[in-house]
This record gives sequence, structure tokens and C-alpha cells, in this order.
Amino acid sequence: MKNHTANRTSSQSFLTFAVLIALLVVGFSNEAVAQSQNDGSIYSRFGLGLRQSFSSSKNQAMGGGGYALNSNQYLNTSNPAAYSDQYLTRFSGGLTYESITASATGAESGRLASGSLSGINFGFPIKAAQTGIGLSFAPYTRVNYRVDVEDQLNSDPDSDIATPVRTSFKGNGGLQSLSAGIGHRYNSNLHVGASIDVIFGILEDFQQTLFNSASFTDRSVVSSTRLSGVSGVLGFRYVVPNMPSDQGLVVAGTFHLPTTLKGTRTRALVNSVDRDTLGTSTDGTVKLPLGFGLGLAYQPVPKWTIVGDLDFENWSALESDFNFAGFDATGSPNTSNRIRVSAGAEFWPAARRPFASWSSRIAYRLGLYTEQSYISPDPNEKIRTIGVTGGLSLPSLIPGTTIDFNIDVGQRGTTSNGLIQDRYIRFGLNLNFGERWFERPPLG
Amino acid sequence: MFNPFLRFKRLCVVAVCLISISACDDPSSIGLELVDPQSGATEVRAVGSTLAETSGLGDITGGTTTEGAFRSLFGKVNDPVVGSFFMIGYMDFINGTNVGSAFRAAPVTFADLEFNVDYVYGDTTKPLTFNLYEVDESWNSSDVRSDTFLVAQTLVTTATLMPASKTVHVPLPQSWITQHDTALRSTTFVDDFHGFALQATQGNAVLGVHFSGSSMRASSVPGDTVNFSMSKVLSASSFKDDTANTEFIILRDGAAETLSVKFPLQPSEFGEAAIHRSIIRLNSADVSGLYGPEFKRPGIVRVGLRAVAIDNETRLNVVTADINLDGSLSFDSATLTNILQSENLGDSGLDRFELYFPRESSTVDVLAFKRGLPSELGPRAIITFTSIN
Repeated sequence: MKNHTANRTSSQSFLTFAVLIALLVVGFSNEAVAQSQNDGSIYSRFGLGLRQSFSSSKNQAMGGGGYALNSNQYLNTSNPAAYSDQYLTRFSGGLTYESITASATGAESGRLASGSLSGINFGFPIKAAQTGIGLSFAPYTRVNYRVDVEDQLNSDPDSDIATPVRTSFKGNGGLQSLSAGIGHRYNSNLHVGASIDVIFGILEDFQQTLFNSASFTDRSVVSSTRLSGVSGVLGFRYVVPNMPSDQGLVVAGTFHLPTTLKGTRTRALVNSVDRDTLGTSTDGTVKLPLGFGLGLAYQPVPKWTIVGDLDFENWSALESDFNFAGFDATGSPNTSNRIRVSAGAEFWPAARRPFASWSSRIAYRLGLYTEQSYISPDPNEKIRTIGVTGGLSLPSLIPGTTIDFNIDVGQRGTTSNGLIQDRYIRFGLNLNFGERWFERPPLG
Repeated sequence: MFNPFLRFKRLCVVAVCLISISACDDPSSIGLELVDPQSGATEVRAVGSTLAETSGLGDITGGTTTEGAFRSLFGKVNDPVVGSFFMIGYMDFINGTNVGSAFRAAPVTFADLEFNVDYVYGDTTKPLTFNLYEVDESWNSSDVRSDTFLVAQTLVTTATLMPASKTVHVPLPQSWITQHDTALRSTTFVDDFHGFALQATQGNAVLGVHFSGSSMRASSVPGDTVNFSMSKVLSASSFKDDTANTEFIILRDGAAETLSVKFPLQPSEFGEAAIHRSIIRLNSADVSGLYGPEFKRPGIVRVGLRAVAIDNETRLNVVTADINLDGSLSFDSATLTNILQSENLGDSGLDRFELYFPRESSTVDVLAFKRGLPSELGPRAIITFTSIN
């Protein structure tokens, strides 16, 4: 009788669980869609957009680094060498919802919100814990900003009727990275890997003139830059030998090859039904710089994992045939190197206890990071970001599968020198599935 | 007892609340200083032009009982603004429903024309004398314009009437009745008879004969009159050279001439622009002081604007506008804006705009525009635009 009640409670709870997940996902998506795709930071207008990276939900919650982490529980796409650690076929993906409060000296603050895809990862072992494949799709840069200016216009000199007009400066798009890589455990300590990254996307800047009147036709001037190219990443993970019992130390690094993106820029006049190209399209190239990353992961005890990472991208060597906001292709280089430093920790009470209780199998993560952007509206003022991250990883009824909630709170920029300061909060919802695939049944 | 799903539900509620709190979107002008505009500010500019008389498409003066013009206009006028012009009115008839066997059994002894004169333009105090001719050949009235003249050589009769008359009867001579007796009583009357032409010889007015209440009447049996309904109309226009008032440029309803206007909106002259609204405005002149009190002018209500392509064949009726009390006309529509937008980008194929009277307007009234007006009072396109750098 007791078992029967327990089973019924369990199935009801599972149903509730499933419904809540569905509601959350649908609600979250609708929330994201309801907000404009342009409602992000004004700093995304500059250069090729705000640099993005998403390698796994775990990495995201631990400050955004994690080169030295393995791919046991999550497919870690920050370092192709980590693909070698896979036991399960994994599929993971996530959405991010961001709310930004922008403020400037002497002006009322504005609030903008937008939703976006964090990334999608897929990986599987060719030989468990030795060789694995990883595929990923994630934003490389993101352009999403909006600045609205309200005004009044008298459109008929023979009357005194003023019509409200709103000029909206918007940007959307960005570069995406589609990556395929392989990782291999060279020996018990050294893991190596490489990936090929196809980088592509469209950067669009709009100037919309909008009237809330049927007498007027709303029109936009849009500048679109379509870019694509192929890059590559080399990586390693080195498990430091001879560590004391229950302790672990991993050193890792990646090298991002420089690449040339080919592209076309067009200008068009757009209304609700037509799109007229203005002038002729121009072709050109953008040379993305090399970069490297270094990471450290340390486990003092199995329950705790601590990471520290450094990213460096040599954007001061950026070359482009196209002008971008903040970057004059014919002038002296006014970009700077992008540097990102992050650290984080994970506390996982159920480490090495696969049959621990549900609450013990929740992982708690915390991190912080700071970043110097590769481009600034004011060459004399670097745009710096500082943020704190956190996350919860909830185990599901399916072994190897987790649902992760992440949060990221930070601020970017400054209000000095006429610049803008963004204070942002991001919520991330990530699903991480793991299952055994491609198993050959035993003979006999 | 610990319930992990209850805890999960609470977590979901907290997450949704947090998202809701941060979801309020309140964009502002913050960051405007960091935006390098792709185009200029939105502004309004009046682009002046001049009207020109062109021998473009004449007014559609042909019509049937279901479409097009609904009057046959005939007469002659010596107009103080337009000058001397003439209208020849054509009309055709069909068998009426009451044409039966009794009518067809005996020869026709009487026939006349009954006109419902519902329109008069001109001097109503002087009689109008006109010749009635028989049209020689079959003709079509749909979409036929005022520069179309039909062959009508056989004089049937001459009549005189007072322009102020509302109902006019024109008896047809016995010789004509005898000659057409067979046709009048035939079931193929429509094929055998092609109508009449009315051409004024004296007078100073143009009259309009409306479909409604106008017919040819005939009788073969005393006391039994049958009606042949008016089935189609056409009015042909001509004018005498060098008689118009040179102070004005004229748009006359029912005329074979039209007015055109061009606006310099091409990129080379106006610069590339995103055009949000276009108003074409004209101010017609008040010419009432040039007419005597005996001269009746019913007046124009509405004028149309059409775009003419560079092939001089393709035309698009864009928009119509009512004439305001002060005589001004404002053409304002999204179609007009889109045409001028294409013109500005250099891909419209537009040659000019023409002013025209809608085909529902079946008059000879006049709209006059003073020549040599300053640009702010002449034809002008008022453009709301954002220049594109």
C-alpha cells in the first residue's frame, strides 16, 4: 500500500515536473520573442558586435571560462581537446534572456530586454574516454541595440498640425560559429584536439523613421554586411600527474587561428513590403585576429572544482575593407586587444556518489569575470565589463540529464566621456541530455 | 518528507518572477550620441513645379447606362476663360420593353425625341439652335474619349430650345419616320439604327442629356406610344484656337486636352531620400468675376491625378481629391508616396503626372489655374522625407 502510494506520488510528480518544464520553456521563449531582437547594448553597434562565447552551461555559470574542464557531464566546446573525455552521447542547448538598464550622465535610464539562443552542442565518443567528436553552434558576435528618438513634425506647411515621429536606430544580427572538432587522449595525461569553425553571419544597422499615422509610410535605411569564412582551433589538456589522492589539477590551452572573412555590404531602403537596394554592393574582407586561451582546473576534493581562465584575442591587428562603427578601415587602427579573465567554482555534493539523493545531486556554481572589449566608441576609453555568475544544475529522472538555471549580473562601460553604462542581468535556461548511443550488443 | 519536485516548482516560480520583473521594455534616447546616423533628419520640403498643357489622353466621355459618362453633351460656348469650344453629342437607342406586336402591325405615324436636360453650362438666356444628324455607322461608347468624332452626314432636323428647359421634345420629321418605319418596327432595330448626333449652330451654352428620362418615342397606333431607351452616349469636343484667356491654364471636363506636371525629385536634383509622405497641392483660381450673372457654371467637385510612364502609354490613376472651398486641391496617398519614392531612386519609369476628371464626372466645367504664380502658390509637391547620405 505504501509502495503504491509512493509510486502514484512519483508519477504525479513526474507529470508536474514535465508540465512545469514545458510551461517554463514556452513562457521563456514567448517572453524572448515578445521583446524586440534589437533590445540590447549600444556597445553591440561597434566593430563586429559584442563578442560572445558559450561552451557549456557549466562553463557559463563558472565565469564563462573552463578550458581545463572535461566533457564527462557537459560537452565542453571551449577546448576541442576536451572532446576526448566523453562517455555518453550528449546534446545540450540553452536560451538566454537579458535585461539591460542603460544609463548616461544627465539622462534618464532606459531599460531593454531581449532573448537569444545561447548555443547548441552535440557530441559523442568514438571510443569512450579516449576519442570523441564535438559539434557546436553558437554566436560569435552579437549586434542588438536600439536607440529611439521622439520628435514632432509638421508635414504640411499649410496647416499647424504636428505629427509625432520616432527615429529608431537599431542593429541586429551578428556572426555565428558552426564548429566541428575531434579530441583524443594521447596518453593518460595529455589530451589534444582540433576543430574547424565556420564563421558566418549578417550585421545589420537600421535607421527607421516611424509615424503612428496611416498618412505616412514608415521606411528604414538598412546597411547589411554579410560575412563568412573558416577558422580553426587547436587545444590541449594536460592532467598533472602525481597529485595527492582525491585531488586533481588540469592545465589547458587553446590557439585560435587567424582567418579572413569574405563579405558583401549592401544598403537598402525598406518598408513593410518592399526592399530597394541603394547604390551597388561592395565586396571586401575582414581579417579576424589570432587568439589564445589558457585555463586551470583544480579539484582539492571531489566535491569542489575551481577554474581560472584567461582569453586573449589580438584585435589590435584587425584589418577590414569595410568601415564599422568605431573602426575606420582607412585610418589608424583604433581597436585594442580583447582580454578576458574569469574564475569560478562548483560544489557538487554527490561527487562519486551516483546513488545519492536528488538534493545531493544538485550542483551549485559561482563565478566572476572581467573583460576588456576589443573596440570602443572612444579610442581613449576602454570598455570594460565586470560580472558575477551563478547557477544551479538540477538532475532529472533521466540519468545523465540535467536542467540548469544560470544567472549573470554585471556592468559594462562607463558614464564618463559621454559613454553609456550598461547594468545587465541574464537568465540562462539550459538542457543537457546524455545517453548511451551506438552501443554494440554483446554477442551470444 | 522531502519532495524534490516541490522544490523544483518553487524554483520555477522564482525564475519566472525574476524574468517578469526584468521584462519591462523602456527604450530611450540613451546612446544617441554614440550613433552615427546613416541618414539625415526627417524634414519637410515643398518642391515647386509648373503646369503644362499637353495633348494627352482626352477625357472619357463615352458611356452606357452602367458605366462611364451618363450624359450626352452638346452645344457651343464662348467662354471668357476657356475661349470658344464646341461639343457634339451622340446618343443611340434600343428597343423598349413595350415594343410589342400591336406597334409592329401598323406603320409608324409619329416619332420624337424626349430629352431630360439635367445639365447646363453657359448663357441660359439665349436660345440654342442645333442640327440633328443621323449617325452613319455602328459605334462603341465604352472608354471612348472626347477626341472621337463619329460620321453623321444625314441631317434629320433642326431644333431650337431654351437652355433652361428641363424636358425637351424634338419631333422627328415625317420623311425620316417613313424612311425608318421598317427599322423602327424591326426586332433588329439595334443593328439597323446607329443613333443621332446633336450639333449646335447658334447659342452660347452646352446642354447635358441624361440617360434617365431621355428616349425616342414612336407611335403606330393612336394612343399607344412606345419608348426606345437611350443606350449609349458620347460627347466630342473641339475648340477654337487662340480664344482662351492667356492669363490662365485650363483644365476642362469633357475636353480632349489635359494638364500635366513634373516634379524634380530624381536623385540628381533632390538627393536620395526615404520619402514618407507626398502631398501634391494646387490652388485653382477664382474666375467667377469673369462671368456674367446669366452664365451658369454648375462647378467641379473632384479631380483625379494619374501617373504617366515614359512610354506615354501606360497610365495609373493614383488618387482623386475634392476641391476645397478655397479652390485648393490636395492629392495625398500612399500610392503617390510610393511612386515618388521610386522616382527619387530613379527606377519609377515615371514621366509626369496628369490631372483628369473622373469618368463619373460628365460635364464641361472648368478648373483654371493662374499662370506665373510664385512657387509657394503654384503646383507643389510637399515631401516629408529623410535624406539618405
